[in-house]
This record gives sequence, structure tokens and C-alpha cells, in this order.
Amino acid sequence: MTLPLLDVQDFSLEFRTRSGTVRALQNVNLRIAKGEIVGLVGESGSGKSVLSYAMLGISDAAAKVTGGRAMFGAQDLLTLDEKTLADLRGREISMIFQSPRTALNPIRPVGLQIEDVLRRHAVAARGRTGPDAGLGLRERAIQALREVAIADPERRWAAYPFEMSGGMCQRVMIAIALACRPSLLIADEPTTGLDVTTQAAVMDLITGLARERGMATLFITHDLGLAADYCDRIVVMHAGHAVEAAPTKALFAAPRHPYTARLMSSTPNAGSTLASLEPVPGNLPDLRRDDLPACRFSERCQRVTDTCRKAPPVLSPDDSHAVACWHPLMEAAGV
Amino acid sequence: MSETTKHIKHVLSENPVTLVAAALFAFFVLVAIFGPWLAPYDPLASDTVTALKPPSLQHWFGTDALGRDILSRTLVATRLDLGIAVSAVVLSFAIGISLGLAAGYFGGWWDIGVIRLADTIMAFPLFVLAMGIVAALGNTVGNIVLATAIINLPFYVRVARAETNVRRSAGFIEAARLSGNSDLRILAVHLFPNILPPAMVQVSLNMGWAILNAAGLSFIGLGVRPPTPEWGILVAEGAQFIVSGEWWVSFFPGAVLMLAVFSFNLLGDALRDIFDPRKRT
Amino acid sequence: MLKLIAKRLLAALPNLVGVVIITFMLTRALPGDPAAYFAGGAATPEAVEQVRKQLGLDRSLPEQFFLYVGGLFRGDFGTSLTTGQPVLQELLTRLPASVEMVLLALVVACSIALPLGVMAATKPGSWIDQLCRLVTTAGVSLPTFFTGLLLAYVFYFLLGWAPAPLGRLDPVFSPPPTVTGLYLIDGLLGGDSGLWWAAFKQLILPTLTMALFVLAPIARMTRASMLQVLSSDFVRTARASGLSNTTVRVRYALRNALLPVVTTLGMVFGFMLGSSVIIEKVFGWPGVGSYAIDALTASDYAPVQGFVLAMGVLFVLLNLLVDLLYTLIDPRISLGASS
Repeated sequence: MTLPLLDVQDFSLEFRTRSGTVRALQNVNLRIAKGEIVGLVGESGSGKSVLSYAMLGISDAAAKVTGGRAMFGAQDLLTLDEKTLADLRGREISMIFQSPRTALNPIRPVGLQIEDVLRRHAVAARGRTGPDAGLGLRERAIQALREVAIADPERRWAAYPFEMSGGMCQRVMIAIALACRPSLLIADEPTTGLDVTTQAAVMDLITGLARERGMATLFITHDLGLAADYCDRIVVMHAGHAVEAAPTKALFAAPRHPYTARLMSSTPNAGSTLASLEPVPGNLPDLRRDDLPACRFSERCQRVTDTCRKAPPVLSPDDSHAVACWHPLMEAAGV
Repeated sequence: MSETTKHIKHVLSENPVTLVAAALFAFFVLVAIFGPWLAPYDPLASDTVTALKPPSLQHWFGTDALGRDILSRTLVATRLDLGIAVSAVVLSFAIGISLGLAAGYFGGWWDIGVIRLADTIMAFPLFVLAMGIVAALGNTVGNIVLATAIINLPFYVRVARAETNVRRSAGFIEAARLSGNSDLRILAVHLFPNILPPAMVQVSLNMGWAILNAAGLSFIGLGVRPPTPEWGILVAEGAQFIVSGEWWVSFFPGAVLMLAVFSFNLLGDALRDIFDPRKRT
Repeated sequence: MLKLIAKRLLAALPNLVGVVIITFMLTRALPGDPAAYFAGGAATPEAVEQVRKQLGLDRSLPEQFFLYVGGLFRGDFGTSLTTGQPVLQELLTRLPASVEMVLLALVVACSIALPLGVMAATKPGSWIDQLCRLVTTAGVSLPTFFTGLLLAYVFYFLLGWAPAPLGRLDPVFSPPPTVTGLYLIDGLLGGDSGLWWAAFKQLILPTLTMALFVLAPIARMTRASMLQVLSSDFVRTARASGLSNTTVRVRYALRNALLPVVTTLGMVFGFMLGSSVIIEKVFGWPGVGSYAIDALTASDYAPVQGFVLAMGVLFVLLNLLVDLLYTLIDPRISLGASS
């Protein structure tokens, strides 16, 4: 099997806060293959963003990695020093965020913000061959704007974020992230807050560029429907655990984890009625507790047994349809 | 334990400096009340034999040019300084809050007029304006209080107006009116209590500033006249001796003044942390 | 852009008008007979009547106001009883002394407070952070007259490093030929290095006193602003793009953080103009503040009122300047942000 681009193994992380230690992530396994678009789905507070921040090394100061590795190629991201990490950020691994307008420097022209990243990773940019080779910084920045389908890029180079719509700001952020042609893009809820048509346009842009460049994408969202439309594979997270990972079609055809199933029945789609929607019962457990059950879904699950509370279920990343559950759902037709 | 009490305890335990500030504040209030009885000597009694003596066991803060005990004068001055500051702040609070409430509540010309007034006051360097007011109205302690009250008006006006506006745009006032409350009732029973927390923070922060103002005015010769003991005057009396080395005449009153202002400011910060943690810096 | 500047100028007008109105009220609101105050304590009843007619104090209040404003436009701020000179002229002669000290103090204060605030924000919990917090809390409690006297005691009396607090120049020297009125600049232009150094030495203590006073609000605002900006979304994006620490801190964080600090400067000027009065008294500095105090002690009211008016106008203009500066450096305003 080819080496995955990103291989997160047994990753655990906690936050030291005034009100206790929050065990935000526990034994998370996640694999992304080269050029693959993976959706990371879960409720707010499930640890999706925390995981990605930790990969890039931009976690909050109170965060502490307590175990595991994050292999990017041959390097363990968690052991790299700040300088090496900074070299990787923006060049090999990029990230885009939600609320695009506040995520851009309000008093700096967007073209300059793209140039800042280009200048920073100048070696890589200069080294690339292809249509960009030989262009100056400003031309490259304008080219980057053109690639994200921003009309009149020469004029837009000098624009400020406040002069642009939310959708355009998100395109600029994508331009910044993709300027140095990274091999992995982490998109943290990039369409939250945008209207539906803009959402589709932005998602089409991201996935289009990803396919074109063979760039892997980790697409973080709470919107299962959106993930279904754009991702090759989906990883479901719950309360700091990765509970299921499968190719999109297989996941939706036959979800194995009780949580995934409940998530699906609470997500509206065309044809569902209000009555047919069922919320997931209960709430996320308080991750500061010392007495957390081994499976963190057990308190909300109808299939719970004693084993679930004592022994942690493990998601085995080698399975194509992996699940972390002692009593996974089985397709009646036999899987 | 109610939420507020829990929060207060949390703030107090977080920052022991707050306890210190509260203790200092209590100390100054006590000295203000009991000053004359605590003073070992008569603050006005001069004794030229013991003039300009450095701090000693008989005179902890030393003596001034007329042989008066500086400790006694400083202690007694507490009452006057605090008295001026408190009167000025109370006056400022009463008028400022009323004007601000009216501006936010009635809007229209009230709002425009009150804002104009506040802005015009703030168009001056405030200490200079206080000088001008005292010079115009006459050189008395009452006018010091009045001048200090006037220059502090804008703070209270703005706090009251801002809080009222927030509630107004939240529909709070409309709702109260629709339920049949009279204007006065809304103002007094609904709006005023909500304004109190930020206003109290302002009061505490203002007290320190009011003391500094009053002392500053006396230092340049306005308001309180010698031989009445007042911190600013005491420092002024000692100013000429600094260059010849008799430091204690100015130092102790000045240090006590600074301590008083400091404790009020700390208290104000603590109150702000209790009532509005968002504004912490 | 010009429209914006014009708008700001217009916005400052009501404040100017307010300043004039209040000063007028102060002039005419004296208890008792204003004419007697302006004529002086030793004036005869006939002299008082003459002053009354001269100043138009026998007319109605609105008429008096127009007379007053008319006089202001002609440059008539009244005449000092003690010196017999026109107040405006004396104010203008003494203004450079105050301006020099205030400007120098601002420069000194900023050069300490800005780095202090920035470092405190970038290294929270460090000793620099604690120092910054101490400075800001203690700084606002400092009575300027007390600090001035303490500094004079320590640096002049004890250490002998600073000269006697006797004014702008040691009497041995005569002032440089007047170009700007600011001795440091005129001294440089005149080429006399001994004179320049003497003037500089006299400036140290009063400047330091004022700088200590305004350090606090500037450092506090810088630290708060920097802290807020450092935790903002766009700084996170910058870091996630791998930009170097220096780039993130300076080009992204600091430039944004400085904007609120500029608006603080307006307020800071107010403190400085107010405290300059006290500092001038402590150090015998021949500026407009000590002019007003001397007049006050001599019950000479015209200079005091002229002083209050001049300070009010100066403050409004300074605020306008700060406003314009901010308008120019924040593209969201100069280009007109749409909501």
C-alpha cells in the first residue's frame, strides 16, 4: 500500500484550563492519501478543529499533546521544531478558516497578503516550473487571484477585505492558501456563514482545484450533507474520538457506528419530513470529567453494554470501512 | 451561594491585590472619619523651635517650616480631601446620570443637547477648565467641589446614555411602556438599577481622579487656603524646601495622597472585574 | 479624501463654538461686578465705570457675546492688569516654552510606552508584562506635582545630575535667536552647542515628569490593543501561512494594534495640557501655565480667561489633527467602508 500523505496515529491531546483538564482528543486515527478529499464530520466540540490546529502546530498555548504521532510523509509533525513547522505551513500544508472577512488583514490589500506568503516561501515558489516560472511576485499574486475565479484580478489586487463580499474573501483566502501549491489543504468549515449558492461555488472551487493539482484536502464540517456531496471518504468524530471512517458511498449505504446512524437521521434531506427527523439524544459528555466512560458515546447509545464503558473501542485504520464500536450496526443484507 | 457572591469570591481569590485595595480603602475612610482624634499633635499649632526637623520618634513625618507636625496635618487633611472628592463625585453622579438617562430615554433634543454639553466640557483639558471655573466663581472650597463635579459630568452622562441606548434598541423600553409603565417608573425602577453596576465602577475610578484634581488645584493656590491642612497644600508648602534637602515636608503628604488615589484606582479595577469582566485589560 | 477632511473640520466647529461660549460665560459669570474685577482692586469707582463702558459690560448679554467674539477675531483677548500687556501677545510669547516641553514629553513617553506595551502583550506573564501592569496602574495614581518634586530631589539635590529647576536656561546663557521659539531647534540652528546642551539639561526633569505621567495610558492602550490583535482571526491566518514571527508581529499585528493607540493620543494631549500647568509651577517653567497661575494669584483675571480659551482652542485643534491622522492611516475610513 502506498504511504499515506498524512497518517495520524493514536493521537491524544488535552487542554489545561482553570476549571480542569479537558481531554479533547483521545487515540484518534486518521489517514489521508495523496490527492484524496476527506471529510471530517462531527458536532461542535467533537474536536475536529482542535485536531487540525494541532497538526499545524498552531494550537492554543494551553494545549498539550499526550500521545501519538502525526506522520506527514516521513516526518512526525508533533516532534518538529517551530522553524521547520513554519516552513511547512503555507507551503506543504495550508489551512483556510471560516469567517473569511475577519480572517484577512483588514488594513492590507489582499494582493499584498498573497505576496507575503509567496515571498515567505520564495524558494519553493521560485523552484516550481510551469506557467508560473519567471513571473514576479505581483504577477504571481494576480495569477493566484485569477485561479480562484476572481474577476478583474489586476484591480482586485489592491482591494481591501471590507470592499469584498464574504464569498470573494473566502476565494482570497483560498488563493493565499494555495499560492505555494501545498500537497494538503485543511479547510475548517470554509462555507459556514456563506449563503447556499456561494457555499456551492466555494466548494466547487476547492474540490476543482484539488482534483486539478492532485492536492489532498481535509474538509472539516458539521454538515453531513455537504460532506456527502464533495468528499471521497468521511471520518466521523464524536467527543474527541474518531468513531467511523469509510468511503462516502459505503458510509451512507450502511453506517456502522450508532452515532453515525443517528447523525444521518437527524440531517434533513430532500424528501424527509419534520416528523422523520430525530435528534441525537443527550449531549456531548463533559470532557473534564475523570469518570468518562471508555466509549464516550455510551451514555447516549441504546446498544450500550458494560464492555462499552470499560474497554475503549478502537478504530483500525487499515480497514476500508473502519468503526470504533463494540456493537456496530450490521447491514441486514450481510456485509 | 448566589452567582454574584461566588463571582466576587472568585475575583477576590484570583487577585490578592484586590483585598489589599479594599483594606486600604477602609483604612482611608476610617482616617477620614477619625482623623482629628488620631492626630498626636494639633495640626495648626506652630512651634518655631522645632521647625523643619526630619522624621523622628516624636514626629514620625517630621515638622514643617512653622514647626507643625506633618503627620497630624496629613491625617487631618484626609477628611478634607476625601470630603471634597466624595461631594464632587456624588454631585457629578446625580446630575450626570440624570442627564444621561434623559438623553437615552427621551432622545431627540434632549439627546442632542446633553451630548453637546458633554462634548463641550470634554473639548477642554479638564484641569484647565476646573481652573477657569474656580477663577470665575471665586476661590472657595465649595467652588472646587463644583468645578470638579462639572468636569466629571461627561463620564456619567456617557455611561448612563450608553446603557439606556442599549436597552432602548433591545426593545426593553418599548416593552415596558406597552405594559403601561409611566416614564418615571421606567426610569427609576427599570433603567436606573441596571445602570448602577457600570456607574459604580466609574465612581470608584473617578474618586481617585477627583482627589488628584482637588489636590492639584490647591497646589497651585486655588480653593483651600493655608493654614488649612489639605494634601495639595501640604506638598506646596514643602516644595520650596525640596531643593535644599528637607524632603519630608512634601514627601509624606504626597506619598499618602498617592496611596489614597492608588487604592481607589485598584478598587475601581476590582469592581470592574466583578461587574464587567469583559472590559479587563 | 478631501471630502473626508472637510467633514472632520466641520465636525470640530461645534466644539470650537462651545469653547468660546463657555469661556465667555466664565468671563461674565464672575460674582459681583465683572467690571470691578477687570479694573482691579485698587481702581476708583470712575475707573470701574470706564472699564465697564470699555468692555461693554453695560450692554445686554447677547450684545456682549458678539462684542466678545468680535474682539477675539481682532486678537483682543484682554489686557493683563499686572503687566499692562495684551494677553494674546503674552500667551504667544510664552507658548513655545510649553509646546517644547509637551512635544518632547510625548516623544519620550511613546518611545518607552509603545515598546513596553508591545513586549508585554507578546510575552504575557513575563517580567515585562508585570512591569507594564505596574506602570499602568501606578502611573494613573501619580500626582504630577509630587513626581516632579521627587525627581528634582533625587536627581538635583541627591545626585546632582540635573540642574536646578529654575526655568528654561541657566541665567548665564541668553536664549538663542528666535526662529521657532523651541530652544532645542533654535539652538541647533544657531550652532551654539554649549547653549543647546544647557537648554537640553533644563528640559530633562520637567519632560521626564510629564512623560512618566502619560506613559500609563499609552502603555495600557498599546498592551490591550496588541493583546486583542494577537488573538484575532487574521493573525491566526498569518501564522497558519507560515509567515515569520517578525512579519506577523510587525506587519500584521502591530500596524493594526497601533490604530486605537492613535485615537488615545487625543485624550493624552488633554492630560498633558492640564498637567503642564502644574509642572510649570514646580519647575519655574516660563510657559503659558505659569503665566496663568501668576495672574491668578494676583487676581488678574483677563490672562486666566485668555489662557483657558487658548487651551480649549488648542485642544480642539490637536484632537482634529489626531482625527485627521487616523483618517489617513486607516484605509477602511479613507476609502469609505461600506457597511
